[in-house]
Amino acid sequence: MKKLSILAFALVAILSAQSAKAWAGFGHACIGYVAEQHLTPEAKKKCHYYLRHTLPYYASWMDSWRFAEKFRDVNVPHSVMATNDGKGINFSGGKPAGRAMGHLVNALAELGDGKYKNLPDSVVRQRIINMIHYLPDMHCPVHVKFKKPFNRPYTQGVTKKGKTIDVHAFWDGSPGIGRKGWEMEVYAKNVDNISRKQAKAWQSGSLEDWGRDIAKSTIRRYDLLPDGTEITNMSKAEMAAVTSLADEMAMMAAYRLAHVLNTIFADGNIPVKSK
Amino acid sequence: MKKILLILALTLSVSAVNAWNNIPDEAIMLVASKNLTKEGKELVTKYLGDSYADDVCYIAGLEKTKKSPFSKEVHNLHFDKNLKPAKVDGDDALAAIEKALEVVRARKSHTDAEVTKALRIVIDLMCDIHIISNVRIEGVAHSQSDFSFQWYDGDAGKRKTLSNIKWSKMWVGYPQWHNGFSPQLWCEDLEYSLGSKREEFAKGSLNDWIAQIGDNASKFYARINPEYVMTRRERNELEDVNCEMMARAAYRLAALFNELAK
Repeated sequence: MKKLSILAFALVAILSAQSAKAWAGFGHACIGYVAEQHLTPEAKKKCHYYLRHTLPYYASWMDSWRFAEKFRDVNVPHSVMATNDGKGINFSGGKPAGRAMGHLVNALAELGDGKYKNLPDSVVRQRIINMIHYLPDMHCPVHVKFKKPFNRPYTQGVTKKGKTIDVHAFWDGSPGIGRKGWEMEVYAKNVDNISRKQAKAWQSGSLEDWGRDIAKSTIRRYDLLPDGTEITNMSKAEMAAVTSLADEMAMMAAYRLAHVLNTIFADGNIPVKSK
Repeated sequence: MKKILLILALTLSVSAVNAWNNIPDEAIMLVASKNLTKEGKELVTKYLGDSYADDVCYIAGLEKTKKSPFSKEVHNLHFDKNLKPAKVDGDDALAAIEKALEVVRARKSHTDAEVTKALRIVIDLMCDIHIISNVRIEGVAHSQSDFSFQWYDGDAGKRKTLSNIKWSKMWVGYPQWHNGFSPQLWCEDLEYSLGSKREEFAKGSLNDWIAQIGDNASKFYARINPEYVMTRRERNELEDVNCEMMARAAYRLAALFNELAK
């Protein structure tokens, strides 16, 4: 009887694990979808020319390919390192996996100011595909690595029904919390209610400014989900605060992704450092 | 407890199905509806209306309530050794499509409900025959039923692990890699990616399409079998094949409706 119970539990675990994995893809797809709604007609035309797909189609391409033969070394910039003071993003530090900002700087240098026109279509295509993924990744609360004394391990003591959970996976899937079965259009309708003023504030400035916004916002994750949290004991307001941070960062990423693509295809560029 | 285990085991085995789910099937129908002639549109609107959510996966819906007049084999396309459509004792997708087409062609002597049912069968099975794992070829033992093979979950680094996957599950599972896609967004995406090939895909007759499907599937069966070990890269690249088959199904469905409406 006990063996049968264990087997039944294992089968349930397999089924639930499959759906949990899919939520992370959902967040990426939603960001790609919202970004696409804010492209200029020119940028949208160019993106579709190079990609031959919609932006959300490629939202998780880097995750699908990062462990494939010959792709690992070039497709791992999925996070960023915070600066030593915890108030910004390091442009070149950390392991390759923590260099998303560095990749964005390089991509803008290659594509910006109309330079994309001099590159083979396949190169422009690949740069866009990567950007659709790592620019949003940079905004994911748990993808910003803070150094001591700000950091806490992301496999901290957070539990669900008494069992320690992977906090990284929790934050990755946070846009999907309580939204099972939602399609991207539904997510956009409910979450993309950003004012023009807010959008402009997120999109203006340099990459250095963006890094400061990202660090300032994402460090809140430690207060929202501190050590010892039992998920099932969180109040509705506490859980809403988690979802609110996830949505805020997702929208920040979407509007900035749209801005980067709009700027590139208007032959402009985004400054790297603040004046 | 044994009953619970049985239900769970059935749930898992049912997930290794022979059809894309309703989202890709509805997307295929949406793409088809955007490529209809005036007469084709009138035919579809008369019998199916403007929304297709209830029309796709028709047979699968009947199977859930145990009301399907067909066996599960109806989702499959059978070929002989020479890749010609094979006559089989049981159900076959091509035979069921042809029978349904006869009803639509002779629609004046059938009730509207019969024509609607026939169109729903055509939609469902036109989608199903474009799934590589639904092709059965005489003399190719591993094509006769579903099989498992191994693939590298990752080809490098810490994820270099071998996992088992079902042949059918690999093919029908590709659309689920894009979580949150609605049928409308899939439709938009398919038109962006493969709309320029609509004429090429829809060229010819039902027999020509069947021949292309058999020829295409035979190449995969020649390479991939229960002993095959697939790389992550290959599995990723095969998604393009699956997308192309979805687009082929859509543009061929449109061509079929346009021809029926003449």
